[in-house]
Amino acid sequence: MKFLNKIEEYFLGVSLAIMVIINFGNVLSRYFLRASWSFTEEVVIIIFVWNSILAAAVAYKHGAHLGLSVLTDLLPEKMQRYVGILGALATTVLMAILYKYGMEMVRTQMRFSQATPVLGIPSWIPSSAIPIGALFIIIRAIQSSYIAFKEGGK
Amino acid sequence: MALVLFGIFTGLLLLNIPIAISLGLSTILSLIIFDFPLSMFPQIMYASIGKFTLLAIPFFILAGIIMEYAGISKRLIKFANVLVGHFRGGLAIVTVIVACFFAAISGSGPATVAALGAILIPAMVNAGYDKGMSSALIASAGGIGIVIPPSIAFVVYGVLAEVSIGRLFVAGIIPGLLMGIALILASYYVMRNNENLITYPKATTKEIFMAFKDAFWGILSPVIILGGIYGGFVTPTEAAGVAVVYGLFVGLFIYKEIKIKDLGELLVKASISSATVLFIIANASVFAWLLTTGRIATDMANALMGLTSSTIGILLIMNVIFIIAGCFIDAISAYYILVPILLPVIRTLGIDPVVFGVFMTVNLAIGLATPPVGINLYVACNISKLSLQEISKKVLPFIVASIIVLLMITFIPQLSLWLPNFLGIR
Amino acid sequence: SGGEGNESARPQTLRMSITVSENSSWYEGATLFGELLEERTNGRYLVDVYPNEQLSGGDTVRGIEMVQSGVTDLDIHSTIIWTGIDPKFTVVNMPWLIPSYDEADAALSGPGKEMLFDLARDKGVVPLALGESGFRQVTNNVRPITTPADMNNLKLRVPGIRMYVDLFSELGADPTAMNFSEVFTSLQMGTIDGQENPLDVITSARLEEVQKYMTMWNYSYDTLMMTVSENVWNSLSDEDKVIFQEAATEAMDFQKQRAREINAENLEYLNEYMEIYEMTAEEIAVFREAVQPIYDAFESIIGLELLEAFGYEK
Ligand code: NA
Ligand code: NA
Repeated sequence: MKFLNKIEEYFLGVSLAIMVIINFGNVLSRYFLRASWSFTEEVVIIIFVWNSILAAAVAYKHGAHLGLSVLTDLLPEKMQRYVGILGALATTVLMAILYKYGMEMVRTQMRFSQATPVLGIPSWIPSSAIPIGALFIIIRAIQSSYIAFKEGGK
Repeated sequence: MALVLFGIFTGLLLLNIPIAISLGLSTILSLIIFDFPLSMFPQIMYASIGKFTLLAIPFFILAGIIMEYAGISKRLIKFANVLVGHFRGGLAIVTVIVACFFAAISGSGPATVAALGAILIPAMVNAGYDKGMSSALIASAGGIGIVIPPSIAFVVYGVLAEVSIGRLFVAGIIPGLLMGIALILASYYVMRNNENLITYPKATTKEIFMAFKDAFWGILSPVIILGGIYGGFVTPTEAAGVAVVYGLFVGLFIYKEIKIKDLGELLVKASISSATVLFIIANASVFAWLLTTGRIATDMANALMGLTSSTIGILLIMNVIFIIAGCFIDAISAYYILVPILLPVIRTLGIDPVVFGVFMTVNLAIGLATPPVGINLYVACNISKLSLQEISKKVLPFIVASIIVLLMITFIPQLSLWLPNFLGIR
Repeated sequence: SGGEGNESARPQTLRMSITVSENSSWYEGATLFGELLEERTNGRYLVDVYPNEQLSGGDTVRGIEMVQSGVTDLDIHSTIIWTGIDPKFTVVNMPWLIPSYDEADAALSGPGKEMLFDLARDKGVVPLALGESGFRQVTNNVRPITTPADMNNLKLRVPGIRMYVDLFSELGADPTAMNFSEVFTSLQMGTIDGQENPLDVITSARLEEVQKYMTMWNYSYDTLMMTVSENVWNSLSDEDKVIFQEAATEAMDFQKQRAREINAENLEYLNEYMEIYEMTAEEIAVFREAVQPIYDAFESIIGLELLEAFGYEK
């Protein structure tokens, strides 16, 4: 897990940094070299989607996904621990479905050898962010609810 | 189907399941119950995040975090305090004014909250303001970001409704400022019994000058961003990236409060904050897809519109529709769903589509701060580390104040039209 | 479901996705298709038209993918969007390959049409008929464009598709594939000098408010294709397939005729706000000559046979 943590964090940091660099580089290039980087939108969006979906997984570890605890706060502490598991369960169900159909989408794009319009990057590279992200989210959701359960709910 | 969808959503929400998951899962379960194909799910997820206009969100969130780490925030606050700290509640006024100022830079609500919250929430707490109230004020003020130009919302509306974007932009200025005034009045109402507010002695000219000098680089940042956009150097989305680079430059080389080794932490923090917002937007888009495809939105709108035939009555009902929509879906999804449904009605009634655009945008700006689905609220929660219900309670007075402005805009079309007409903008 | 004489069966409502708004020739064509289908199948098939790419969250290429996967039943998309599925579709858009209505009508009823349809079939959808998005024209704030030299250093927004980016670079301009949502503000503020689009897009996005010059140079033609998902198509009886086919052809012929009428109206309207220059055949020939390297580069992507089917002569 520690290894995974590091990889994830490196990925998030580096990808966001690249997005900023490309975005800013395009401005500089347009003014000083009189040449826009026409690929910028395509590349930045591919990185953006990957960054967002993997960061959504890491966000589980930090408990950053908000919910409404108005009702569950009224429950006795012991019950609250079990309700806490429901969040991970719901996440797992939804993300498993997303994984299944996400893989289907990726396979279709591979079958039709679809590519992005400017750079011709195979479309499955950006698209696989969805199923792979779903997998990471499942892992993180289960992990965080397990920890929360052991620590006696919150 | 509407009942099943909203029923499951509410149920999941009350079980304290993350809002993003509640939106997505209620949609998928409804699709399964009503035997719809599920293969749209990953496609809509991808399409909703993979939008260029959303890039401003991580960029402005990162810029906000950098300005905090760089020490820009605390210097700006100190300067603001020196200027208005001797007024009771001065910082609330500063917040709204800076929000209007920032609204003229950023085209998106959550981006405005992100850029301001990191600076102003801690500042207000230090000055004795209630944390929930400060966060709620900033979440509401962030809505001004889509009413005062530039505004992604107006661009989307303008393209969908085929009206002049230039005219919409100018039409949004007065309503945006009115929202600002209403929020200031509301904060005074909320603060009226707060004994803890710190009022500082009036600063001397020398102190003001010193604070100005110290905060100079921070004060310059909106100037650079605005100058970049209005000078034709950068697009609004690029401006967000410029804000990041500028903040880093000041933090690394001028104030020297950011160390190179902090950069990783800053980037990871920003990625996570931004992802919680985008994860909700992605799932809200799936929810919105079902509202459209299942004709739920059309049926509900038609049913409501059938209640009356008077123009004012219909406008008021539309207000209700928008505010309900704003409780569940994000503003941009709302435009895609509602503009095609409601615009024909507006044309039949002979209402100026520009007025309608302003009216709809103000509505959805309010929706950004209404629970349960209020993107501005999430960003504010993220920054202040408060729970959604803590902020939700405090946001009510600001929503009421905004709704009063909304009613003014509904009944007085000149509030939107006077300025563009006066300036001769078609 | 539903064969001949099965009139008691529940009518099947098909979802059709189009890229543009309900005030467009596309929508008129799509609506007519629905009416013809309803009439000729005695109400067994109905069509719900969803404008503005609502069904795919505003994303055009996903709009096609959803027909591929059968989530959406029918769609109308232009070849520019189809380029995101297969770059060969760019053949129709190649610079000055199809520079007039007459040539468009000839090219798209010749062997090229069947070749486009085959490409679409390879991508898992069933093409029904072709329509028209129209010719793309260029606007800017610097000078009227009459020669390739006028393109020099112009900051132009072009579609995020390789052919267009390469083409304008070749002409000496500085193309940027900026997102369309930022175009209006960027033209207004001078971040970019100009853009290119069909007249209906220029008009509906109100770009005449922020642009001085327009050159009518018909440099890139864009055709529309109505397709139906394999799921739906395979469920149809042979008689119904004929009905679908004929209704689509009639509807898209009507769409094309309406597109041309609307184009003429738009030109008249835009003429009041911009200085419009109509390029002569000689001037066009100079441009066509200047962009030969683009043909050389794209020949391997598109294939010589397909190019020649649209009138290209090497
Ligand atoms: Na704004
Ligand atoms: Na809301």
